Amino acid sequence: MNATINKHQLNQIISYIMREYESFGVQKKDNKTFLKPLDNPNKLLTWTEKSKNSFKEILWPDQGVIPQLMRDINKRNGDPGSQATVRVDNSPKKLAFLGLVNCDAKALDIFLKEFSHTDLLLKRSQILVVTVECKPDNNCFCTAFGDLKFKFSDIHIQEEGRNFEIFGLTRAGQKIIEENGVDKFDKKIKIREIVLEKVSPLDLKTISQEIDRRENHHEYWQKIAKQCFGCGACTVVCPLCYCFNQDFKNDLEADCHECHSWDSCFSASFSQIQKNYDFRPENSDRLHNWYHHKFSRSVAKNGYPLCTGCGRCISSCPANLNHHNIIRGLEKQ
Amino acid sequence: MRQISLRQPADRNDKEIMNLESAKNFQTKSYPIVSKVTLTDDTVLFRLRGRLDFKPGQFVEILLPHFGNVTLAPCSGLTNKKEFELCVRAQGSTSDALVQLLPGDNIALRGPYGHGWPTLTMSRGPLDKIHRDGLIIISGGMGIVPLRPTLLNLENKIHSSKLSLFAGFRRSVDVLFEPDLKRWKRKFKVHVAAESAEPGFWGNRGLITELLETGSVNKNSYVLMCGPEKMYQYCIKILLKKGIDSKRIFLSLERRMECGIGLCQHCSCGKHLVCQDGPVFRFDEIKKELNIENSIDTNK
Repeated sequence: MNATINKHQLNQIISYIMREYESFGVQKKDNKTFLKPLDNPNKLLTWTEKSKNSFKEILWPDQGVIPQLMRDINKRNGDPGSQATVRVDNSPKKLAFLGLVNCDAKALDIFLKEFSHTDLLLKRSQILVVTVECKPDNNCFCTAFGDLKFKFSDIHIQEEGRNFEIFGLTRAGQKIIEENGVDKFDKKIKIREIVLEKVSPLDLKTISQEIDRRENHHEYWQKIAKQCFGCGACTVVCPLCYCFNQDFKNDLEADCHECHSWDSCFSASFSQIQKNYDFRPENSDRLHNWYHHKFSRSVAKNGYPLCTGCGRCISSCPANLNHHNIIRGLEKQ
Repeated sequence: MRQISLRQPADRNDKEIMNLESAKNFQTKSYPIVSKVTLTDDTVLFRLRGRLDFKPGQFVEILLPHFGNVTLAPCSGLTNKKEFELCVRAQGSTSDALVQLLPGDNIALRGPYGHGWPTLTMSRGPLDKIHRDGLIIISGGMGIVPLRPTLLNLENKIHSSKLSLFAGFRRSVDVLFEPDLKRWKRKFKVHVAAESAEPGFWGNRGLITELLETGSVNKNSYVLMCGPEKMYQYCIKILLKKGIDSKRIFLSLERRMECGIGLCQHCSCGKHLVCQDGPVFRFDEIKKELNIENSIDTNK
């Protein structure tokens, strides 16, 4: 269901989405691009670089309350027989992410798959995803994972002159377009492919095996680890890094609730057990584990890496490590 | 002593509860403490009322409000369906507080999670393999805790020549479950060793590996091990030298476990997640991650 629409029609569709869903859109703020609550359809960018932050902040926020375990445990009355009060779950039931670039939509799809055996997150059916055409930067490498199909969103938008080309990619997306004043469709218009020069597909199977054979590449990993600060910036910005601690958040009224707080596999205590015994004592152990999880364990177990080539890790690394080149280097080792 | 208590969760029919129905694997249940026994100066054994359908070797995540989580293995036998036991050692901020709970308090937990000890079943019956080939159980320190349900389960069902236990402890005052150990000593081969012992200690003084080295072992035996990984390295070396098949050795790995459902990633070990693929692993499948030296790899 493809159509050419004007600005007015686009705003009508976005306004509808804003009424029906708790909506977050990619917008400019202080000349930087962010994914944040959308209060005005005109603010949505329809041809953009990826946002500085990803959906992770919204869907799986740091210090987020675990909804299933929301209990206020009242310490004023320590009687074990009395009832606990249960906080009503006010988290959104329907979310819309608008203005995502395709690699982020793919990352969202993978993120939800990782959590699919639990009820800790909304399901894909409760989330509306609207992608737009992207402006890649020098650190993008999405095409390293093969042809990037546009199959992770409900609606895709690209600019065409003063107008917009809109694509309904799922039933939900098609329904929204149809119900908001769009009745002329054109099968001939196509989604523009993403082209990144010098980024050819990776041999993921070889890379997965070589990362697993750490003993064969000892010097390679040592060299990288020497450069790496172990700061964990890559894990913060990566949309597919979701390691977490489970904490109790205490408050001044002597109540507490359980929450998840972001952790990083680079943190010193990540693999520590009692008496500070550490299974990954060196930075090189933790760094290797990061690559191993994303490009070896996930590939072997799920068939896909926990990476979509958005390049945020490269942009944020203070040690100028280029993670794309690092894994590509293993193909040749 | 400060009393810490956790109140009962609200009635499941309460209309205010929106998501609890669907969060099966993250659901918390509270169990009241019925009794508390002090085993050593830092270890207690709680008996809790309630039914917990666990397999020996599985673990549960205890939630202690205001403090945090503790990973424990239920350690009671399987015959009493109305109660179960948890053994807690105080070795961190949460477990320090947990050991102070008293009968009447509640303990909230999630689980059980993970794969427990293999049931060693055959088509003819659940204990046939052990009856034929024998079972060796090796524990170090707190490692006896996840093995206790298996020992309690087998003590009256198996011929004395087919079961041996090697239980090592750091000091004689650290010996856990003394009444059980002394009772088992009358039923099958039990070797208890402490590295340092008070005078009059009824067990052996020394390392458990020394007893394993000198003990006679049927090379077709199955082996269940739980303890520090350092102990595994030495014991496996001895077992392989005695001709035991690496596919017959099962060990329980310890890692930092928090969520228990394969999400938080703290327990990752090579290509495995200990909370989902373990904590019990067959030795040949986990050999690489244990960094057992190549010199003892007998290609089994």
